[in-house]
Amino acid sequence: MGIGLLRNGKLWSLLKKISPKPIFRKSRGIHLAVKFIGFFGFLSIPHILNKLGANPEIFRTWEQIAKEFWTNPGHHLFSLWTTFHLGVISIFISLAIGLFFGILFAFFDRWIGPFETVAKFIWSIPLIVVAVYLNIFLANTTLYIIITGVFLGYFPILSFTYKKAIEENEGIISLVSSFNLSKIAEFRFFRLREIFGNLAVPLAISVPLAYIGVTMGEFTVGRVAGSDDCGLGSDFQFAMQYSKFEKVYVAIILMVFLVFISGVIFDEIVKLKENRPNRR
Amino acid sequence: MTGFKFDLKELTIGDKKHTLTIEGIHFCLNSPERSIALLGDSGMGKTTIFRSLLSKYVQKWSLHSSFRFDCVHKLNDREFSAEDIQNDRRIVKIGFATQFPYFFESQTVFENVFAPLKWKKLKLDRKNKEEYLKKFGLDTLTQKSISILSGGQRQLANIARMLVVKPQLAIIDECFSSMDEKMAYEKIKFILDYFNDIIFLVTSHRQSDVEAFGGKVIRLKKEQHRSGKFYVTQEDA
Repeated sequence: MGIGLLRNGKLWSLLKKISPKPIFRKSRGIHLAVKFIGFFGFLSIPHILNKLGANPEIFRTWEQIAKEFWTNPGHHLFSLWTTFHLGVISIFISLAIGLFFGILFAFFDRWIGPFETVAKFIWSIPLIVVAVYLNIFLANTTLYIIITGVFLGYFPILSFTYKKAIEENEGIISLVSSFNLSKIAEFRFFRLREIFGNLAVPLAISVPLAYIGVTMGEFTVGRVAGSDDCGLGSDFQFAMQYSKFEKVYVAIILMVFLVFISGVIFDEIVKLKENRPNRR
Repeated sequence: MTGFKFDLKELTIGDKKHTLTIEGIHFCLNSPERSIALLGDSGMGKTTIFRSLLSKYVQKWSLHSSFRFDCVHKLNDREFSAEDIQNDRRIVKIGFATQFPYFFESQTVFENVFAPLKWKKLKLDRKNKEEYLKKFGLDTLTQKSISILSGGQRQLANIARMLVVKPQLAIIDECFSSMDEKMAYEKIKFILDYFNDIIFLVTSHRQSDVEAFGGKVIRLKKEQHRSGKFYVTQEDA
């Protein structure tokens, strides 16, 4: 009865009026602003925890963090650049692997079962385990960092490519049947177009994941090498080891920024495509 | 053109839980008859009956556990059976226009309508292409993006695209549903006049569209076997 009253009563209409949902739906700008507020909110967690009395010894104020950044901006920007460009390389390799295998499996419509199981298994192993294993065998640190990025980045692309290529699209099936097109023609004229036209969808997941993989790789490299010249991950590891918490915070802020901004960019591309006027 | 004989003895598709069985659908079109329309409630299998002429659909259905298919059709003295269809031995050219067509949304009406020529490596000069679009009433939209077209115009572009390669049989699956009755009537009359050597296989819910084609009409009904299973067949003439 209470719920009934709430649903039919004035309170309900008032709640509907003040509900932020319709505003979010209408304005992409507000949606984006909320995301940015969320991002800065995330960065404020240490301050909130400090206010609650947690870990006061590792807490640093914004001024201390800013001072650390401005005393050595070249180093931090170089770390950011290292992580950024290794991430870009990882994403391109992830794209190549994901597209190649996704299209291959969809074209022949076989092997995907066991491969998907193996791929999911690899994907589900904690990356740090994979990273440590790889580190034992690979002498080249850059290659190793890229591989850890690819490990996380390729699967969403492969999965999307495969699913898009075998999608039951009545329009495509009717055209292929009507014009008696071969499977190669079907892929060439329709399926590849559908995949490449919507590539921002898996990239919105894959790119942040690749960056997480890259920083994880850098973290492991930094631990082994005991240095801070392998990107933001190694900065983080090195600073933790030597209790330079200002540097830890700078590395975290830049890492989160990179992951956040890469996700937001592709997310916005997807939304722009979806909301394109005249599109049916 | 001598005629078209359609004899679908049996088609069963689906799994053990959901099966559609169609039996004993047969008709014969002798010149000058040029069209046949299927009428029946939604879900009775009107489109499925005509899709059974297309290899890609039959091959897909053949993966179903309860698949059974038996037919013998004849077009202009050329006979083709279920085996021919399933093995993609294309004896007749069949066009299929579906109710919700697929288009390349970023391309123009012109590019979309004549895309099959590229797929099939056929040629038609620009003047003939423009004339072709004019006949369909799409000439003012030639360079417009397909995405700005109304539902009815999209259906018309879909029919124009299907007919551009001049099939022998053209399946038109509720392709006039987004047009008003007057426009649908005009377009049907034009299609019948302009493509006078094509046989049209039509499904529609709208009586006026079926009447505009002016051909034979088959009504579908559901019956029950002794075993208790339901199947779709045609009403006696």
